[in-house]
Amino acid sequence: MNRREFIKNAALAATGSIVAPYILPSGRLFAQTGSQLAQHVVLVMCAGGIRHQESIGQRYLFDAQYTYTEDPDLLNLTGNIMPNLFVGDAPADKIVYGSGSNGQTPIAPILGQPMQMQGTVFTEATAGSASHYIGLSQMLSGNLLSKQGLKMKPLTPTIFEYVRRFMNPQSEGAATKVWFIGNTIGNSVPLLNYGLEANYGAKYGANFFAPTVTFGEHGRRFLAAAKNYHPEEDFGRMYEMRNFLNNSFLTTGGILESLGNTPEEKYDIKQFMKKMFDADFETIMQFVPENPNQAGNPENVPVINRDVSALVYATEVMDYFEPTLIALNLDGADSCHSNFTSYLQALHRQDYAVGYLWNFIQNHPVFKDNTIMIVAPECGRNEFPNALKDNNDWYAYDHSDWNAARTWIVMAGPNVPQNLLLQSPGNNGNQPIPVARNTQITLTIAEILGIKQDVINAGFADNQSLFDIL
Amino acid sequence: MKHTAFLLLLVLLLGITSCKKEYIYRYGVDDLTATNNSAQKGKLKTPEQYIAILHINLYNIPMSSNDMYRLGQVYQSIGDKEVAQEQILSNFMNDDNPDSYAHQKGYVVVKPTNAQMRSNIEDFITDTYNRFYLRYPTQAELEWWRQYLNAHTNVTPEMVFFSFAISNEYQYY
Repeated sequence: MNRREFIKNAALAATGSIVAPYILPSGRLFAQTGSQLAQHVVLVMCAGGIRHQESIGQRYLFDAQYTYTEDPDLLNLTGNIMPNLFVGDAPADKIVYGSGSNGQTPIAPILGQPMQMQGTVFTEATAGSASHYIGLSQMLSGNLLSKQGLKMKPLTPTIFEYVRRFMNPQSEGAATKVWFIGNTIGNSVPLLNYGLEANYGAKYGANFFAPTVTFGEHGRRFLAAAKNYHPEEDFGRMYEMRNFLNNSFLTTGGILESLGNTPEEKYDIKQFMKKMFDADFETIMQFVPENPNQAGNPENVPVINRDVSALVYATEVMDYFEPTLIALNLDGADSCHSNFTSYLQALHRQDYAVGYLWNFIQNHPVFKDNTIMIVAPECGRNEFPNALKDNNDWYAYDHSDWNAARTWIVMAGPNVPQNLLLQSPGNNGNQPIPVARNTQITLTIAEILGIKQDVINAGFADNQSLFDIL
Repeated sequence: MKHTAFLLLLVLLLGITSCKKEYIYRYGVDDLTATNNSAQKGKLKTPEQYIAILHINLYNIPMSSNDMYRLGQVYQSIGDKEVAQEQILSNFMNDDNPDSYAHQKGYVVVKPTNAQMRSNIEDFITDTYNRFYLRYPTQAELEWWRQYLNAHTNVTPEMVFFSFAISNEYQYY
């Protein structure tokens, strides 16, 4: 079966599901309990730990460095280095976050209007955790996961599982309609595509790629020259034989957990991989501008880093599979543990990546005016620096104190109020009171896709969505 | 006199019973192939174990630790492990493609020809069970394979190997 046939069949199946109500695995007759606010949701986890001060706070080097170095050149040196997300002027001096020689050239914003003006910004949110993995798990599961360990799958169901369980498994809830894209396989990121809760788990999990690995040097070496078996004549027979072997093993042993991609979906995933391997990296990244005349310059800071690369591949996944839900993890900012300059460059690139993605959505016939995008860091970073300094003599920051729980959330798309800025109502001591919680993101996605009540009934997630506090 | 005879008899009896010929016992071990019963396979292979064992099963050559580490990373980067295994296998089997890992390493999948497989299906299936599952097939399994391969003449040894390598039992040890 080729892609066109697969899409045709999928479309027929979707049409059939409208005519004939589908009985979900959960036993309910119809897929959704509520109306959808949009057909697609994109969640961008600007992860790696982003300090409120340098991102939405636009404090650049003033707070983080002048306070501790007392370098007079940094006095009052504030400015916005995330122009695709937030409104504000760029810093006037000491530009290191851009591209080209020593990062002196800011990357031109893609969006004519920052997302802040196109949607709603929850300026002060709380992560409930100062850890990367727990922070990501909380955003995806809607649960504080107080007993969650590292290097283990989330203890409660993820939004991927809710979507696949409560939406029509033959169309919006099909396996290839739910994706998780990581920029790395480090920090246990691949474990986040489903949780451990009974009655959910792998069979409702998201498909996952870490494109910089899957389609990187090693992926190309071990996967690109895959033999092109015929989906029916070859794989059909091999699956028959495999099924016989599995039936024999079932009598005495166990069974592997599977994501539940149908043979057609598996074939389609392989065809997508082939497409990525057939295209060279430069072609896939063709719309990312690079500074010219930088070849051989050892001080050149390229636009494309691991985050940008993963995100551009994510747009390829979106174009090919047209997912109902796709979540992306970008974590370049984690370099802040030892290198503040690199962290600023990563923030600027995460902003560029978000702009690239929103621009892609607004120019895609399937996603335009039909997609809500949510952007949020998984956690912040400390109020005070550690002892490490980078080449600019700037201090680095870890994440463990109250400031590391400070985040923000940006949301834009149909049915989302535009140009709305929700500020903190005040301070509790010296700590701003949050207006939103990262755990509310799960129910927000559920509400957008019309399965809010199902997720509330499941009883695992924060039972308030971001729409509830607008 | 009586006492002397009794003492002589006693000495003689002691001599007979105490001086016994010493035998040397030599124990041998019969050749026996140790195989697993599928019921005993309850531990899931790690990605690295799966890859390492697959490599040896196909090429009869161990994979280098560097390659195993790198392929382990690639394996982790794909969410659907069935897709990951099928892609890796499809590449491993493609040993005559100059771009494939196997070709570049000079590895060839050790497999009989189609004619060899069909000339003695029972031996081929028994060998394949031993190779991939470390056990003998049951009579029922042998019979199923005999019927299946006779009914499907387009099934090749490569396809049989593929089906074993993606089966559930192969995921366990």
